[in-house]
Amino acid sequence: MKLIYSLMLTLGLSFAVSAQTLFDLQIDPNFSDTEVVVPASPLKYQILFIGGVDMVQTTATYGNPATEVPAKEWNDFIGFTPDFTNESLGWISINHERIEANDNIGDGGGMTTFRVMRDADTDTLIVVEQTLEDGRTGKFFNVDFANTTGETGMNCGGISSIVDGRIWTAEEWWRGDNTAIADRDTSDFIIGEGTVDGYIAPNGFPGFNGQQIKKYQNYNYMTEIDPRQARAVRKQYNWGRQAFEGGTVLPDNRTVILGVDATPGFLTKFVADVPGDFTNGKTYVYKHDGVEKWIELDNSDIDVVLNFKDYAVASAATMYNRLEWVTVDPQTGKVYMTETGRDNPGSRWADEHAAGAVHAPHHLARAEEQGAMHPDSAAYWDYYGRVLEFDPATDEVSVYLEAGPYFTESPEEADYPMTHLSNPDGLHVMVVKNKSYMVIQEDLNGTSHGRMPANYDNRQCELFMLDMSIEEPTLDDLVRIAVSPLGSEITGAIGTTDGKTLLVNAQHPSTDNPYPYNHSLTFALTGWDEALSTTTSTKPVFTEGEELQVYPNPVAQTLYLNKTTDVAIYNAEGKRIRVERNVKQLDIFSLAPGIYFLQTAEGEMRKIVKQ
Amino acid sequence: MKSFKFIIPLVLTCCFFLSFLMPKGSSDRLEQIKLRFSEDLYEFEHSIQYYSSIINEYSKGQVSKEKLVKAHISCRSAYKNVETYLSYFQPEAIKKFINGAPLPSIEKNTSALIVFEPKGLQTLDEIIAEDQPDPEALKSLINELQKEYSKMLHYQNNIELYDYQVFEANRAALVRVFTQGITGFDTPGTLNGLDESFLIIKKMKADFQNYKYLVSPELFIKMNNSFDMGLEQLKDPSFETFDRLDFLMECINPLYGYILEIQIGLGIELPHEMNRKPTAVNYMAENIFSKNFLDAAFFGQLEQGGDKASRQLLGRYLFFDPILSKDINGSCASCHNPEKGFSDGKKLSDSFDGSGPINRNAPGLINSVFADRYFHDLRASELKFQLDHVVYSPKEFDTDYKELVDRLGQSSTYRSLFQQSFSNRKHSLSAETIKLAINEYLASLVGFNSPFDKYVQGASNVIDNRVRNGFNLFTGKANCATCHFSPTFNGNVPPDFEESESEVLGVPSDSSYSELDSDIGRYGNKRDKEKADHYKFSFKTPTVRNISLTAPYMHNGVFSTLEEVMEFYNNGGGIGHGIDVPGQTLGPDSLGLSQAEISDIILFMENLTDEPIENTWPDSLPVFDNQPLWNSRYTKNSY
Repeated sequence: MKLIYSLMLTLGLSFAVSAQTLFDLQIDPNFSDTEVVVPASPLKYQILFIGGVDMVQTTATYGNPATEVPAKEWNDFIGFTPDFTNESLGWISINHERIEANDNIGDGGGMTTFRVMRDADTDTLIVVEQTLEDGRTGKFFNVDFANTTGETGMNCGGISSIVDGRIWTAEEWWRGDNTAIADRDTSDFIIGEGTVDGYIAPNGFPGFNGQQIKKYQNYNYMTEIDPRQARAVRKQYNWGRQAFEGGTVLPDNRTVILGVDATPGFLTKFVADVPGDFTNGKTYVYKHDGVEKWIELDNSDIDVVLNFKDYAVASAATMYNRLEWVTVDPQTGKVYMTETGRDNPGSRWADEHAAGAVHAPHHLARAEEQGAMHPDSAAYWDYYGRVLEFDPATDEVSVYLEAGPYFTESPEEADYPMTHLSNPDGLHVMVVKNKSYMVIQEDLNGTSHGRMPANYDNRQCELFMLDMSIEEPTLDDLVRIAVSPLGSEITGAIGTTDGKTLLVNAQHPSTDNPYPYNHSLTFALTGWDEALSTTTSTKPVFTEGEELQVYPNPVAQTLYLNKTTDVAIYNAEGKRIRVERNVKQLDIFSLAPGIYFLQTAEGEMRKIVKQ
Repeated sequence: MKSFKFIIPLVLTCCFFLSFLMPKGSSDRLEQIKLRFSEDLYEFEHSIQYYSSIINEYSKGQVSKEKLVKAHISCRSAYKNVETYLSYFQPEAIKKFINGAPLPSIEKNTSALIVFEPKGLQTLDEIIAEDQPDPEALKSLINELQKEYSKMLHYQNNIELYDYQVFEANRAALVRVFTQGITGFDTPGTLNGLDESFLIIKKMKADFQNYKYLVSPELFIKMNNSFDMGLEQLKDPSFETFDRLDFLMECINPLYGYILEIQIGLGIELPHEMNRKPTAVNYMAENIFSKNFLDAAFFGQLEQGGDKASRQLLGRYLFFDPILSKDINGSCASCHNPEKGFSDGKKLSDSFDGSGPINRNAPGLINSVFADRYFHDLRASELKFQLDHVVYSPKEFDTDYKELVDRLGQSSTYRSLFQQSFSNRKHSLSAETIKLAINEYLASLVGFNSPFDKYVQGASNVIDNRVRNGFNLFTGKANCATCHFSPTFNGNVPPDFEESESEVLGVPSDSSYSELDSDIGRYGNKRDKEKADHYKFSFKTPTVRNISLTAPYMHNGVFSTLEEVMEFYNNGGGIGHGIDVPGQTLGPDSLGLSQAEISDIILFMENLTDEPIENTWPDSLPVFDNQPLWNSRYTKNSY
């Protein structure tokens, strides 16, 4: 092997090379030594739906007849509604974050729904044709908001009930006046009727029908939709008007926990009087230091509904720094939510603090640790965010996983920059064969302060998986899953209830990728039941020794190495195609199946067979 | 450079700190470079501390302004010694906290609009140049700088240094020196950019000496000669008389090529081997003025794969086809005529419905793809969204894509062109593919072959002395290139060129300067995160390439000649002409340009006229099978 290495050095180089950190452009491909076989991924990849390209069936809107037009873009949240009749697998609901005026789909943001079956032979998903009650026939359907509840805006996160698959879409896009909305009709809105100028939106809400509000005040709710009929059901006025991002329905089918993407964001709870009827019940905000931890706000008072935040402040509720997605582990009933963070939140919540709201204990502790500061201080920083846990049994909120390079918590300074997680946003607990896995998706607020380590030159948001049986997990326990085209941000991940498929959205990928990878895509990754029956959800344990060991993880499309080193990959002809520096794992998602050679800075080589 | 004698012992006593920063197991050359960089990082920290102490004394009236300025210049110099690598490793932090433009910015990735006030060395540079710098402002800025810099060091500690990083960082530094250093962009107050550029080149030369025994002697000597030429030129220059063109030709461009040549020769990995996202700068370009220096596919969102030639032809047909307008009475070319650099020669373009002019002047389209925002008010964030505004506008095409798909589908020629161009799609003719085809055509309208380009690309040896003088003024005394950056001469901010800038100039409503034009520009672009006061009356910085073809000028076409444009700038924009302009970003003082200087600048700009674009007016357009009336819609050069 030494001989081959020195032979290679002389190949085609007119320059003297003095150090091993330079990898040769060409090697002798007749190398044969330890062969590492990378089994084909047990996951089957399927593109189900392409935003901005696939045609959706619309209803008659704004005087235009029902027709077929391209769906809106920027796929975000995914809802999954199981089909309890077993005629199909269920319905998939997709949020569109992009706001635009649209004659047929309706103004603002939007949603698309479709129904899928599982192919009995391959387990892959098939989008099936449907005819809805309103006569629309096709595969993809625009969710009608304009003619039902009134338009929605910037549909980001949402709720996919683990009880029965009911779906709500969240309107994070906080609107303060009519000039800030993209509607053609900005006349006042009468709940249960529509606009004063005559656009009819009759769905309304018991108790509020007939209330006249400004058009912009009809934004920023959780809005329930019926994925089967692709139409909106109602805006959930009784949960308050807030910059909602995510939420979850607890197994009792009465309690809803809601996250608000704002600084301050308040943790909100709704408890229905009767399971499954979310139109009647009480709404609360969380106050960690209260005798009663949940403070009720009168959700029958329209003023409370419209100005929910002011009432939360007045109740001295607990402030968070941008609560994003909320999810529940169906096996434990514990709730998890991402607090994505904001670089310097001080000025954003100081006024509310002065008006009575209180800071979450972890922010007070962090501020102190940053040098006897206060969370209101302009210098207080919260760059990386975290995952929080809420235990309904104790009503306690605690930090489940601190993101970073936040060296006082994690990772160890020596593990940086390899180990990092920043601004967690999308969050889901997938259950496969009675084991819970947390699926975390980043949405970076920036790249400074070590969020995007310098060796990782490009801003890329990543998807991580965490085996939740690990006690007190740290960033070192995260397994990065490479499942998307270059440059895309993964969002919306949700598992089907049978534990076989993870549905994910790749949002605005690099626009010069080949088609269709240059569009927002909804993917299905099927085969998790098989994939996770092996130990691939955790990182490998290597035997002692300096010699190179390579361990393939077909699920994560990753090669793990037993040491941190520089690596070059050569193709079957011996041509150098990839160089990576200072790595302990290699993402091989983009490599076509075939033979490759891997060489380390120490000169060790392995033949890699990707199946 | 002026070293801080008092700091050196400190550096030595901190060896334990440095050893922490020492590389682990990399080669000698990288150890040398990293050691030098680590020492300079530490020295910068100390010079911030020193500057801070001087500011403190200044605020108590204990030191002179002269001493204050000296400390400022020392601090900036110390920054320059680390800038090349630090801005490579932590670009966002540099921009936000250390050396960003002295302009407010917007918090990203949140739904609420939050404006950040500018911070860092450029802002300090502006304040320090005032007659009586405000001590409180200085104090708060230096405190922030100190704090943020110590955080940056924290994340720098564990970062390894590799050869490819040395090469990439230094090539970017060459672009930065040329576009931001010697133009005065980086030193808006002290105009000390030439001295600072000297420091950058000097450190660069020193770092590359570590590659001496790896590179062929011939190439190494050529490289060192270019370093020496540049250093010689930058030694003791005057901002007004420095020959920037010579510096480009003798130092910047040769080095930009040689350093790449060395990198390739040594087999050091190149960006395409590193699984990265695409970038605006095509790293493989050898010359900053090469036609391929910026990647049109990156800006134009041209997908890889597919039949490019067919898409381009299709896009060209669509561009010239009146079928896209409701009444079939005009096409893109109605306002973007190839004979006028794809503009229309009118103050404001005519609306298609005969209701008079639309609100703004039609910009030229050659090289227009090089932007991350489109329209004067920067309202479209992607090229494909640009067309939406024309299609839906009641005064322009006044239609929708459903109608367009329906019309185009009635032509078998169009249908087969779409089929051939987009055979990988379920629906080859759709809103999406119409836009992509037009994008493909727009992205093909790239020049970079003007007489000036040919000279700086080395394809021609002659340049008129007045053009040379015009370029030197443009990039120097006249301050043009601090917004119209080389090589696009538009507002794409170097060295990445991925963000389009806008400026508040105070453009008047008429050429007698009676009042500020009432168009609020970017503030009114309906992007609610840009409804910030500093974007009121702010407009996109267009390219000055092909400007002699695209009169009249400015978003409202208020100036009909380049002389009028130059008069506007020479006398301080709106404010300089006695108009009240809130937040004008253009300096209100006179540039002090003589008539001869102005005419040299104009001559230089006229030298930026590209060769005519080849594929313009089609001889004929696709016919419609059952719509005989539509088939008479087009005659070549008809509008």
